[in-house]
This record gives sequence, structure tokens and C-alpha cells, in this order.
Amino acid sequence: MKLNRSRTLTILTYTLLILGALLSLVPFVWMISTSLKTIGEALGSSFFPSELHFENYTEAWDRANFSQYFLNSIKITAISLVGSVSISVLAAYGFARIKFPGRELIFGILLSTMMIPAMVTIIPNFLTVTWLGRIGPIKWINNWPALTVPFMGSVFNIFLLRQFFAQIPDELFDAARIDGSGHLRFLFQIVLPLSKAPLMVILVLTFIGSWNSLAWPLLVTNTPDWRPISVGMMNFVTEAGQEIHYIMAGAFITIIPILILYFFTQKQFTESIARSGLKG
Amino acid sequence: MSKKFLTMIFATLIILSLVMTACAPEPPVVEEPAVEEVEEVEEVEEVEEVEEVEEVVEEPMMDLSGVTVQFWHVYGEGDPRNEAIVAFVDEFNASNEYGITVEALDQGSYNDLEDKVNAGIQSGDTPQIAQAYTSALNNWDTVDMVVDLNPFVSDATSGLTEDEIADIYPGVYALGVTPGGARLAWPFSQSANVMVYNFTWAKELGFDAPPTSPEELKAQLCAAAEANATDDSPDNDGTGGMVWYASASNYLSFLHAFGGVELNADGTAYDFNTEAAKAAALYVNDLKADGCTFETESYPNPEQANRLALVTLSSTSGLKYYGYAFSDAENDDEWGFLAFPGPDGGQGVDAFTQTMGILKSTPEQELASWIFLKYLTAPANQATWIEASGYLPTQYSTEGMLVDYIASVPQYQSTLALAALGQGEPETFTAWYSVRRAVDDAAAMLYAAETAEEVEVILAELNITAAELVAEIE
Amino acid sequence: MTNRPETLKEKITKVITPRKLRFFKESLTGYLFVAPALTLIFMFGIFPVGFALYVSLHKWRILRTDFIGLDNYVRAIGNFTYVLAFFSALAAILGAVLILKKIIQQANENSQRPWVLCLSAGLYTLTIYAFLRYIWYQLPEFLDIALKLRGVEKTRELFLQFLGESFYAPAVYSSWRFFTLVLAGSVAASLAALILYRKPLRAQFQTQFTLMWIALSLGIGLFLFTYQQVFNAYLIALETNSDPGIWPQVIVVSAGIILLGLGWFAWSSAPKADQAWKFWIRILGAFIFLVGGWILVGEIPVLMATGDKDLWEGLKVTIFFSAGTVPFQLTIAMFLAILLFQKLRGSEFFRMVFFLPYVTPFIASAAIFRQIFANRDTAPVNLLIRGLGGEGLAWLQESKGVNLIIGEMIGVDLPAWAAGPSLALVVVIIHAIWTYVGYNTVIYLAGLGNIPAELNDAAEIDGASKWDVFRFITFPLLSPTTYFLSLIAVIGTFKAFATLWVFREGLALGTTDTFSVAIFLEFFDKLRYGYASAMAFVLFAIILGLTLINNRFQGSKVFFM
Repeated sequence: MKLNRSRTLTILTYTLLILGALLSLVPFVWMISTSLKTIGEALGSSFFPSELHFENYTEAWDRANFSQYFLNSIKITAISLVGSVSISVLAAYGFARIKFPGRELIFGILLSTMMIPAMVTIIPNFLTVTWLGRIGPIKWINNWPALTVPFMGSVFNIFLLRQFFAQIPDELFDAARIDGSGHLRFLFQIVLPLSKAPLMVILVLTFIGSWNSLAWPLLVTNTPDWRPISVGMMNFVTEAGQEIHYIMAGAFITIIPILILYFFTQKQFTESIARSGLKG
Repeated sequence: MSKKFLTMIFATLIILSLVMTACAPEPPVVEEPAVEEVEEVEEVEEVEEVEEVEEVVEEPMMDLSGVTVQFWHVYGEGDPRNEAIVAFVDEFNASNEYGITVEALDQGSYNDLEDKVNAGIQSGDTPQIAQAYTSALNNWDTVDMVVDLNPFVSDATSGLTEDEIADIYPGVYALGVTPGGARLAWPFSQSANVMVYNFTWAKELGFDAPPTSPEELKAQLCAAAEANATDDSPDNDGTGGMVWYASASNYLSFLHAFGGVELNADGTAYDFNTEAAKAAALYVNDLKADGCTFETESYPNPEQANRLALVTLSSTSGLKYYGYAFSDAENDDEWGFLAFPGPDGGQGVDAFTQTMGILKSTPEQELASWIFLKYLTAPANQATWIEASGYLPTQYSTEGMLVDYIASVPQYQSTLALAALGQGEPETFTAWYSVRRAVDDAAAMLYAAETAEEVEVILAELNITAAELVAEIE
Repeated sequence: MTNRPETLKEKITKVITPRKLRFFKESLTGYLFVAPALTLIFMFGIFPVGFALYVSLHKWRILRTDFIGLDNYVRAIGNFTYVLAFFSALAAILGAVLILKKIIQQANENSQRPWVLCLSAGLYTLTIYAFLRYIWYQLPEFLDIALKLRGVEKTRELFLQFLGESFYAPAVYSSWRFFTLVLAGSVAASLAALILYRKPLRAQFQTQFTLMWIALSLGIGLFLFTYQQVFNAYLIALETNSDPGIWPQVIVVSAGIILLGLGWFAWSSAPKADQAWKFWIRILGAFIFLVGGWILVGEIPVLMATGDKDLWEGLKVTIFFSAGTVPFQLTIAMFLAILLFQKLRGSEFFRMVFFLPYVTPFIASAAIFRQIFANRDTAPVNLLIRGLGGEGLAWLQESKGVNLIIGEMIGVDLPAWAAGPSLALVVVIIHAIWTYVGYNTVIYLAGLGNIPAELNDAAEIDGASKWDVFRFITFPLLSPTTYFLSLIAVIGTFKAFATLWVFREGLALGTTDTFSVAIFLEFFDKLRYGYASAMAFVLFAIILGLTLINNRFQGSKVFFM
């Protein structure tokens, strides 16, 4: 009797989990199935294509000029990542492990900037970026700095890393201190090797962020030379109109790199995201 | 104890501030001339500008070799019009005798381009040539950003001859001129908002001629909807009639067809609360209530080509895209463009003129921009542009060069006739830029309205919004 | 004479002890570590906010024109602006008093007399204001460079020249000089304090005094400014011979808020009463105060009625969006997390699947959802509904309230106020839930992991059912996680823009235009930059208010002070 009951419970649990998984996955399945249809089928009611039209992908790829946008997005992501990681790691370490006057106050101010509605920052940031380009040695507008530098000082990344760094036992630090190593050495030799998981999160989130940004890249680029995939995809969606089989092919093309990245990092990624929620 | 502290702090403070003031005098020496300099520069600037205008008029051309001009247009990648623009620019750069280089940069859409120029005005970085409707150019003129083209047009060496000016359609040439007489916009081409109509299908449904009145249109649309609802396939139920996209262009087209205008009788304010406006809105609502219209998420070309719609609404520049859609669907139906039919034989077409403006830059760049615009809109080039884009000409002599094209693309023939009916939007007030967006919203609300009272309320509110927006600027 | 260098050295070592030196070095390292991030965040996160504040005080259409004070705010939320401004001023002054109280308390506890530090702190505050004043004068000069660059060749040299000149515009120059002067004074003062006030807690006292000065001066300044603004409003009204009625409104609402405060105070102090009758008296008093307070505060909607209707419409949509998204998202996530926590086979796989939507770029997922929820009868969801015997819906193009639609289906006529969010907004809500459930699940899983297993075991041994375990152990112990997630989610829904924009359809008739979207429309469609910025600050104030309330309820550390 008891056994039976726990068995029904297990079955019930699985049923619910599978239902949840289906709801998560159905949009993806529908996307792939539609992307392989003809336009007639796509507007019609059949769920699956009668024939697989893989040429939709080449058509979407060429029409949206995805190759260039991909390259741009990858370049932008790489540069942001290098900048963001080095800056956030330093700052997070500073906030987590070095005592200095005003530390909590400054961190509080940083956190409060996360509440600011983004659209007020667009025009002032545009002005700042233009000016930096005029004063500085390199072009900012229509070049990588405007697309990456403003996002390198990410409060969220600092917050995430700080949470992690703060959990590293003090004994490790004291031991390092006795060996005579300073903060930088401790950071690079002990803390960073331990921090693969949050760094994965930053990697994936930076990737997604660059795949998601729309208004800002459009404003600071004048040519397709640096426009990211989000802009390309958006243009394509507008241009393709009701040709949804192409749009779905484009959507799948846009998602693939992130899916691949996510599958490789998902374990550390989800665990680290989980950790960020502790100690709110 | 604390007294001692106090005195010591004050002493230090005083000493330090003394030191600071002692050190400070250096900058003030610079200050005086610096202030003057600023003034001087401004003066010189103004004087230069004035002189420059005269120069253009009287003296031979200034040296333009090595001058670079940025040209922002709205045709995104993958659009055949983009390729056509690039071809023009390449040819101009290779062949112009002055050594001017033009850079053509696509900004995706009118909205994006306008947003970017607005931001650029604040930062001081704007392109030299911007493709924009006159309402946007009017807006930029309120902050003194747009170059008056009259001196260029009338210039003896680089201007246009009397004949060339007379060659431009008068209605088009009158566009973009401010009350003060400044010419802000240069016409590039025209388009019209029209109905796309499937002749073959209409014949099969028993209609030999395209509709010439709202009643006939309704009969045909409803017949098509009925046909799709009663055929074997359940998939196409609810389709067949007209794809209605609730936008300012479509609503204003019906408004024009019903004999209405957007301004009041003496042209002093926008007035949408008129009988024609109401009738147009109620007509579309009636179509909707009878199930003879439906909506799509985006450009309904595939619906038109797959016989899911007898009529869709489009700019004439969608010609190429409809061609692609029909060949994609392997559909040989004969299709073409119609005007929006109104009562008493009225016909409505909302017409647009694509215009270019020159934004303030150096005298050399402004002149170079003009030379490029002149090249771009020369009749022969305009003919090429039209073949690539499906737009309409702005000059009489272009028409003659399009004979072969018209012969090869039957739909274009009707386009030309429709253009003649075209009624432009009233850009009398700078606020049209914003008012038009309010009309867009209102068009959607009108379509959702269910009673005549609701329609009236919406139109009355639109009037208030428009008046507010006008008052804000004018 | 001969032993003078020694005395100096002695003095130095006396002032700068090795311990202090180490502290100094440590602090410096800390600042160096955070400096790059701070620079960037200041430039691209904090400066824009200051800039937007500046814009919001002007009439600004593409370019800056007149300074118009609080007019943009009045336009947004009506005369409530003044009440809010007065209360902010009051709160700031109150804050200053509280800080002072804390200082006195700490001084007594440590038997220190830090009053002299009040002076140096005052100087720091002055420095901050001198800097802000300098910025106030400098900003327009910077902005005008764009105008000067018109009609001339934009070379770098010319720009730098204009930039250089902008520092020497008369007002800028004098304010700049004043700033450097007080800055030097501040440095001197802090050195003096370092030398003369050799006690622990010096830095802390100085910070507190500075905060006190800032709060005090901010309060007084805001008070005077608002007073002047109200005065101006009356002057203008005088011309048209109308009565703006601001003062009575301010007084009524203030009285209401004070009554509410008193009521709350009486309510919360009631349990402390030592006798039953005292307890009931306090409760009674609390009710009287609260009712009176609410009646008076009821004036607020009247005050705000003169404000912008679009803004309230936007706020309503935002609340629908928030209320439609957050509870469902959290409930589903908690449920899934509890299922997954049973360590069944394959739970990792499920976790990965649930998380997938979160990593999907919204541009792609929104395109998919637009088609799944297309208005065609042949679109997937409509097919499903028709399969179940219903009629296809217009989804994103439907402005009708979802409750009305359901009502129609089951044949119930609902009144207009019960319409609920539009069907279009429901699609956006479903997309938001779909996207974030996985994220919340993962964090709930971590929260579950933090609950000591012994608790559950003990409860089960005591014969508690699974449901009881959940109700009395799991759910309460998950509440910190729930608070954290709800805060993040609510802020997220208030700030959300891009997805709503991508889903926006004309035929939804603005029923998906949240506050953020309304701001965007004012900014880019109507080119009312000043007004849009003011709206953004109203939104910011709302988000800040929500955060503070949340922190208050949560009972954990409050953000400020």
C-alpha cells in the first residue's frame, strides 16, 4: 500500500515535470518545424512540414546577411567579456575582501543604479560616447568602444562575483597573507581558479546581453560593420513580413550559438545563478 | 580642548585658502582673452556663412576635391533599393569631376534615421544628406539644422535651369517650403498608398471589373471571404477579404476617398472630426463587422499571393515584393494596384514624396551635397532608380524614359495613373511628425470602435491631441 | 635648531603610525581595485541620471530651451508634485536629525566629542555643492559646443579648442575656481582632522556629519525651491484670476499622511501596553487616526487628476503586467523546484530544459511567440482553442480585457472595471512567465538546499503529512528566497521595455504600453525630452519606493542609513 502510494506520487511528479518541460520546449519545436515548411504550410494548420525544406535556412542566412552579423556579435561579445571580466573581478574583489572607508555606501549606490529605467540613459550616454571619441585617440561611434565599453562596468557582474568571493573562507586568505602574497596574487592564484562557475555565468550573460541589445547598437552604429546580430535579426523580421518560415529559420540561426554555449556550461551556470540568489 | 582644535583648523584653512588664491591668479590671465576668443569665433563664423552664400551665387565653384559627404538613407540590407543607391553612389564617386566622395549609409527605417539625427543634433554629429519626410526636416529646421536649398537651385553654375525647374511636377516642387520661403526638402521620388487587387480571382468570383465604389468593394470583399469560408479547406476560414492594417496611411486614404481632408476649411488647424472622417471609419468598421476584413501580424504579401486576401493595402513601392510573393506561391493570377474607391466616384490615394534634406555642415560639404542630389535626381538617374524601386517619378521628362519599363511591368502602368490622384499629407505644421503618430493610434482605435458615438469620441480626442501638439511647437 | 628634523620625524611617526599606514595602504588598494568599475559606472550609469534630472527641469525639444522648474513633474502627476517635494524635503531634514541623534549616541558610547569634525564635514558638503554648481554651469557650455560645430569642419583640434574655451566661460570659470578652492579647503580640513583628532571612529564621524549636512541642506534647499515654485504657480494663476489651490491640498494631504503615521504608531505600540484597556484605547486611537488619515490622503487622486492620463494608464498596465507575471512565475517555479528537489532520476535534465527559455534571446523568442499567438485561425494556439470548440482569438491585436473575453465564453456579463489586462498583455505576460520560470526554479532549488534536512525528517517522524511539511517548514523557510525573487521580478517588470516594444501592436490600442513604453513614446514620438525625463524620475521614485517597502517588510537591512 505504502509502496504503491509513493509510486503513484513518483509517476505524478514525472507527469508534471514532463508537462512543464513540454511547455518550455513547445515553442522551440514549433519554431524548427515551421522553419522547414513552405509558406503555404507555414500559414496553414499542419504542425509538421510535409517535406523538409532545409533551403529556407540558406535563404534566411543570405537574405539577413547573418554571416557578417554573427562575426560582429562575436567580436563585440569577446571584447566586452575581456573588459567586463577584468573590471568586475577587480571591483568585486575590492568590495568583498578589502576594507576601505565608504565601501558599503559606494556599493549601495552602485546597486541602486540597477533600479534606473534604461531609456533616460540613452541620450546622455550617446553624448558621452561621442565626446570620448572626439577627445580620445580612437573612434567610438561606429566602432567597438561605443558598443562594449559602456557595458563593461556591469553592476550585476560585480554583485555576482562579490557574492562568490565573500564566501571564500578567510583561512585561505590568511594563509596566503602569511606566505607574503598581496591582494593581486591572492586574487589571481587562489580566488580566480576557484571562480570558474560565476565566470561562466558572466560569459553566458554577456553573450546573451550582446544578442539582446537593440536600441543602443542601432544608435551608435552607422554602417553594418559593427551592427550585432540583434539588429540584423530585427531588420530581417521587419523585412520578411509574413514569411514566417524564413523568420523562424532566422530565429533558430540566432539561437543556436547560445544553445551550444549553454549546453557546454549549463552545470556551472545554473549552480552559480542559484548561488547569486542566496543572501539577497 | 575643542577650542584649540577649532582655532587650529581655522588657521590651517585660512592659510591654505590664501595659498590657493595666491596660486590661482594664473588662470585669470588666460581667462580674459579666452572669453573674447569665443565671441570672435562666433562672429567670424557668422560672417563666413553670409559670405559663402554670396560666393556660391556670384563666383565660380569653390574647390570641392577631397570633400566627403555622408548620405543617410532608409533602405536596409537585402533591400534591392539599397543596392540601387550603392550603385548610384559608386558611379558618382568614380565619375564626378569635382573629386567629391559620397558615403551612403543605410539606417534601416525612417524612424531609426530620425531618432539618430535627433541624437546627432545634440552631439554635433549629423550626416550631410538625410533622407527624411518634410515633417522631419521641418522639425530639424526648428533647431536651425537644415540648409535652405534655394540658393543652390538658383545658382548660375551649379543650379538648375528654368526648364529643369519647370520639368518638376509643380505639386512636388512646392513641397518642403517653409512659410518664410526656405526650401528644406528636395524631391527624390514618389509613392502612393494603394490597394493591391487580384483581378483573376475577382473574375472567378464573378466580378469582371474592379470596384469603383465602396459598395462594390464591399460586395467583392465579402464574396471573397464567403468563398474562402465555404470551400473545402477549413484553414482559410475567416480570410479572403481585405487585410486591414490600421495605420495613418490606410485610414487617410479612405478619408481622401470619402472626400475628406485633414485640415479645417481655412487651413489653420487639423480637423479630423468631420463627416467624411466619420464615414470612412464607419465604412471600415462595417466591413469588419461583416467579416470581410482581417488582420495579419505583418506585411500581408503571402496572404495576397496565396488567395487568402482579395485586397491588401500597400505602398506602390511594394511592387517588387508582391512580385516575389506571387512567384514564391507559384501563383499566376493577374494582380495590380487600385485607388481606394469612394462614394460618387471619388478615389483616394495617400501620396508620399520621398525627399532629401541637406543638414548644416561646411560650405564645401553643403555644395557637394547639392551636387550629389542634383545628380541623383537627374531624369535619367531617376528612371534607373524607379526601375529598381517601383517608385514614381517627380519629373515629366522621367516619364518618357520609362516606356520600356512600363511595357514590361504591367502593374506599374496603373501606378502612374494612381499617382496623379495622389493627395499628399498636410505637413503644414511642423507638428505633423508627432500628429501623424497620433493618427496611427487613432486609426487602430477607430477600427476597434463599435458604435458611431465611439467613433465621434475618438475623432474629437484626436483633434485635441493634434491641437496640443501643434500648440507646443508653433 | 639641530634637533628640529627629529621632532618632525617624531611628529610624523606619531601621526602616521604603522597601523595607520597599513590601513591607508589597504584603503588605497581597495580604491584602486574598484576605481575602473566606478569610473565606468559613474560615466554610464550615474552621470546619465544627473543629466536626465537636468533635462527634466527644462523645456527640451531636441535641444534645450527654457528652464521651467517642476513644470514637467506637475504635468505628469499634477499638484501631487508639490506634496511629494515638501515631503522629500521633510524626510531629508528628518534624516539629518536622525543621523545627528546617532552621532550623539555613538559619541556618548565611546565618550568622544567629535563636534569639531562637524566643520570639516560641512566643508566637504560645500565641496560637493560647489562641484554640482560647477556642473550646472558647465553642462550647457558643453552642450553648446554641438551648436558651435555647425557649419564648420569638425576637426579634433577645433573640438578641443571649443572644449578648452568652455572651461573659461565666465560663470563656469568662477564656479570652477570656487570648487577648487573649497576642494583644497576640504583636503586641508581632512589633513587637519587627521592630525588634530587622533581618535578611532574619526572617519565614521566625518562620514556621518557629511551625510547629515547633505541631508539637511538638501531638505532646506528642496523646501525653499518648492516653496518658490508654488509661489510662481500662484503668481501665474493670479493673472488668470484663478486659484490653483495648492496650499490647501498640500496641507490636507500632509495632515493625512501625518495621521496615518500616528495611526501606525499607535497600532504598533498597542501590544506594548501593559493593561487591556490601554491596549484597546490605542487600537481605537489607531483606527480613528487611520480612518481620518485615509480620508485626507484620499485627496491625492484629486491632486493627480490634473496630471497626465497616459501616465496613469501606463502605470495601470505596468501593475497588471507585474501582478500577472510575478505571482504565477514564482508559484510555478516553487512548485517545480519542490518536484525537482526530490532528486529523481533526470532532474538535471529537467532543470536544464526549464532554464532554456531564460538563455534564449528575446528577439528570437518574441518572434516565435508572435507566431504561436498569431491571430490566424491556423496559428497553433488558435488551432488548439478551436479544437476545444472555441473561436480563434486575436491575441496580440486584442485590446479587450481578458476577463471580459472569458466572461463572454461562459456567458457572463462583466462590468468594465473588472476587465483585467488586455488579451494582448496576457500574451506578453505568458512570454515573461515562460522566460523566467526556469531562473526562479533554479534559485528556489538553491533555497531548498539551504533548509536543514533534519527539520523535515523530524517533522515526518512526528507524523506530519507532506503538505504540512510544506506549509509549516518549507514555505516559511523559503520566504527569504521568495522576497529576493519577488523584488527582482517586480523591479524587472517595472523596468521592462524591449520585449514590450517588440510585442507592441497598434490594434492593442496601447493596452500593452507600460510606464516604460509611455516614457519611450513621449521621448521619441513626441520629442518631449524634458517631460519624458520627468516621467522617468517618477518611475524611478516608484521603483525606489517599492524596494524600500519591500525591505521594510522583509525586515532585513534597509537600503539607506
